[in-house]
Amino acid sequence: MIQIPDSLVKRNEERAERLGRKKEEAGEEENLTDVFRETFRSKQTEIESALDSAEKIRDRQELAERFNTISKDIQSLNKYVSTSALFLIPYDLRMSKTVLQELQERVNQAENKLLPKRKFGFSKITLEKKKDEIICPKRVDQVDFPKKEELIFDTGFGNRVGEVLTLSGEELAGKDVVLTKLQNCVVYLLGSCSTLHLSQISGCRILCGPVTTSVFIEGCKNSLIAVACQQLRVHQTVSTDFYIHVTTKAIIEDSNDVKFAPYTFSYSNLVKDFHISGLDPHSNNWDKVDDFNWLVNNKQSPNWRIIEENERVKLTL
Amino acid sequence: MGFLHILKKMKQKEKEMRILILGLDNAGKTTILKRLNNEDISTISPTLGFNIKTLYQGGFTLNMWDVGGQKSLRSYWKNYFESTDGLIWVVDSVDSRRLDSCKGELHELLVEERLVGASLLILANKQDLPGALSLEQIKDVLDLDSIKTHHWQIISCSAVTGEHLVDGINWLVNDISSRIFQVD
Repeated sequence: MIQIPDSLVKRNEERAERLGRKKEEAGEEENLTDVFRETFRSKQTEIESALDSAEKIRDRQELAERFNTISKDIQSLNKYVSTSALFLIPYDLRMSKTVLQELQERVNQAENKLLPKRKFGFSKITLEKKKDEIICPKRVDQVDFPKKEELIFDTGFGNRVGEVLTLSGEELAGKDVVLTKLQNCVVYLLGSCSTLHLSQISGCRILCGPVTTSVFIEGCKNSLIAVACQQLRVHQTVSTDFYIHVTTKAIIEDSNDVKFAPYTFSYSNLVKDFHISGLDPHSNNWDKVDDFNWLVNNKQSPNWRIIEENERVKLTL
Repeated sequence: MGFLHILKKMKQKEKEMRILILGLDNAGKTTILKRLNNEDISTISPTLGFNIKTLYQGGFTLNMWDVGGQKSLRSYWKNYFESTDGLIWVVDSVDSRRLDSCKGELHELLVEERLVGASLLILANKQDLPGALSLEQIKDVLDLDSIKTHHWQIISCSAVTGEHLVDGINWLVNDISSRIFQVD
């Protein structure tokens, strides 16, 4: 019999012990994995059923609370997976992460569907606007003019029907003159004002001296307007005749059946008023009209035309 | 940082700024541009289309784009937004009746993605005329204090007399250059 040295026996014992411990550990590990799988699956079913029953909830408040709980549950399950990662084999880890991800997506979808919420107020607004643009292009006349019905002006006339209205040179000098909501009136502005605004005029005859800067006309129909100015802007006007002296260029927008002729109106102080206004009496571009709805070069806009000489009327006081 | 850095360097080399001038019709956009460029302002008619002028100010080259403000042209404004460094919004201080639509158009611009980061200079024009609203009144009506998305400044000016125009441009140039051309 061979004598085995004590040292070797001891080593053998130690090895056996180590093997045994390892086996135990492995068993424990398998055990842990089973526990994990079970816990994970039960939690998963719990969340899924909470999610499914959420569809039946009508109350927004309750629904919000439900989603709150669900997302908390998912979070804690996620945490559980992370802490279990120490002993989990890669397969289990990957599977549970995928399941969690899918679950989270389902929750997000359900929440968007059942409980739509605005994340950024402004992005929502722009989206709506864009939609509007596509469905109905911005109506121009909604945009530009004051909605208020107040008539705020120092000099001018408003809300008149069938009257003859006159303002003299003194009353007009350097003023911002407004004529609005006139029907079947005759208006004489015998002087030089700074600017002239005409709006909602119908069936009127408006005879005006030289305006220092610009004339703004909006919403006129079946009228006759004689004016001298630097700039003339005509908007949303139909069937109106203009006898104009314009030192730059007249423009029309959203208008049709408007006609132009040179300025022939005359009154006693006209020459003096031309001088006051600073307009050059020799530079008249009455027939150069830009139509902002007709951006085609070399082709006459169908919205305006020149009044033939035999059609022109005589304009006197 | 890398890409931004390169972009900054490129801009720095060019020392160029793209400035867009917008506002309602008859606000005086073209007059301001022509006045800045020392051109005759008596023959200006409403802008059909746009004008471009290059100005030199404080060592920078300013490419100024003046786009017509008539309603039918406003839908084209968006074509000019790209790579705008500064926006000049011109207000007719006398035209109190249209200040509401002026406010509407301005605030519509400020949510534009492509104008994010552009410095905003509001010029309260026509201050030489009687009846012009004060700077404070315009600031109130346009609700400027609600603007948090852009650096902005309002300056009263007159394109006809040229008063304070250069002050406005100086503010704009300084604000843009402190953003883009700052020394790293």
